[in-house]
Amino acid sequence: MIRIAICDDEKRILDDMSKAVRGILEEVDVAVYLDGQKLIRDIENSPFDIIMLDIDMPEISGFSVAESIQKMAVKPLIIFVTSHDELVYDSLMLHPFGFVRKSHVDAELKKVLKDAEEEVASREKHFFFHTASGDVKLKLEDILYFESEGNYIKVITAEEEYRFRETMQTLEMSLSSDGFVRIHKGFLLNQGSVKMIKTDAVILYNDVQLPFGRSYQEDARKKLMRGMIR
Amino acid sequence: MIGRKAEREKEFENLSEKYDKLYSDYQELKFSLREMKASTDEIEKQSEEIRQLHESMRSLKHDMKNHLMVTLSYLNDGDEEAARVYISQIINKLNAIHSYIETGNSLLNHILNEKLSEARTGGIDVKAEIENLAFERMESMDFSALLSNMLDNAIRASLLERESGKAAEMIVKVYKNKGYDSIVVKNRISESVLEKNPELKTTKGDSNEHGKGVPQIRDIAEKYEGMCDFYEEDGYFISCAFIPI
Repeated sequence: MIRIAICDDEKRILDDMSKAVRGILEEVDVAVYLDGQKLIRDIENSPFDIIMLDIDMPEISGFSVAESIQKMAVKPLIIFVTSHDELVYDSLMLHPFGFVRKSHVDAELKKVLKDAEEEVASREKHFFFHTASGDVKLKLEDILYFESEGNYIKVITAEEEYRFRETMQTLEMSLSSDGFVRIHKGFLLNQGSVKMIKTDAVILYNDVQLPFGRSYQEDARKKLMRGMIR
Repeated sequence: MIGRKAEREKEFENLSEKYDKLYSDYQELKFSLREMKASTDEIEKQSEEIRQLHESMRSLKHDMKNHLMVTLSYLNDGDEEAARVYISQIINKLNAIHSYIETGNSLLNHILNEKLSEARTGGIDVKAEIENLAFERMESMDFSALLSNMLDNAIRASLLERESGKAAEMIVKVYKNKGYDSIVVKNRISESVLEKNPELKTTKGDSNEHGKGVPQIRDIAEKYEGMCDFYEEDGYFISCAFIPI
């Protein structure tokens, strides 16, 4: 079940939007807000996966609401809804997940919600493997990268390291659609853990640096780069 | 005699040192003068754009009053259908009016507003998502050539789509991501460009000039140790450039 909050100062638009959202996503719980302040207060207690924000609201603008949300521990996906064709935002604010024009709701809402649904689902995906000391289940998003070590694969997370028997090739095949990219003969990288892409290496959020393998470099850089485009 | 020669040589040395200094000062001043001139032109252009915008806002306000009066009279007559049709006409008209993009980066403002208005005039639906980035590391000339080339390519390709009677759409995004200032320009295509011309080469006499400026985009991205890419996905041609911050 995906939890969505929609915030707009026009009751009519709120009704239309929630109807449209229910028409696009099957399992969805929609909460509506006429006022951004109330939404901010509610987020603390009832976290949402996706928040759709009107930008031009009288009491508090959609941008201000987004900035407040950004400071919280929960990180819902933010989709701006505007009557303009341009969204211009300040660098201090996080790059929003998407933006929908009120004049093009039919065409744009479906795509952005489907993408958001996929993104939310990917946060819940897990990876199972069997080690000498028992079965392990990890959230995919917690895995930074896999490293090959002889006949074994090391699984690296921010806190722990595990080892299990598998080949890099099999692993790459099963995880490439989940945003894992082979950057080196010995490394399969979670795209989400990349902080910076350099010419010959990537730097991860925990400041570990992994090199590109020469024969993987061009392809891997391209994949990582295209992964940055929504 | 010899002492005199040494003296002269010393004098000459001093003078040429002075000359070098003056010459370099002169060059610097010349350069700043050129910069100042360019920025004055820029400011003039911008104030003209803003003046035009004010003008269109004023006439819009006037129009709105008229529109509301017409709608009201339809409603007073009980002709709801006529009111409905009239209102959707106004909405279509309003959709064609666009605001000035203000990012805090005057060069970015200028290029975006000029190119996007050119695109819209040509009947292309344009959606823009712009983070106010400074592109600090880039020289103005390079930044301008990079963004203009990317936009020009998309506009040119979209106008060709329009000519063949199809809907044209462009999406422009400027944002910071993973240590890069990024520019992404997408345009809707009804058939593959890369299939016919994988290297995106400009061919003389070919009206489909999607590749024009592509080498320049590549050169500029390379100059700043960035990356660029051109590919197709979901019915869009996508060009992107990433410049390390």
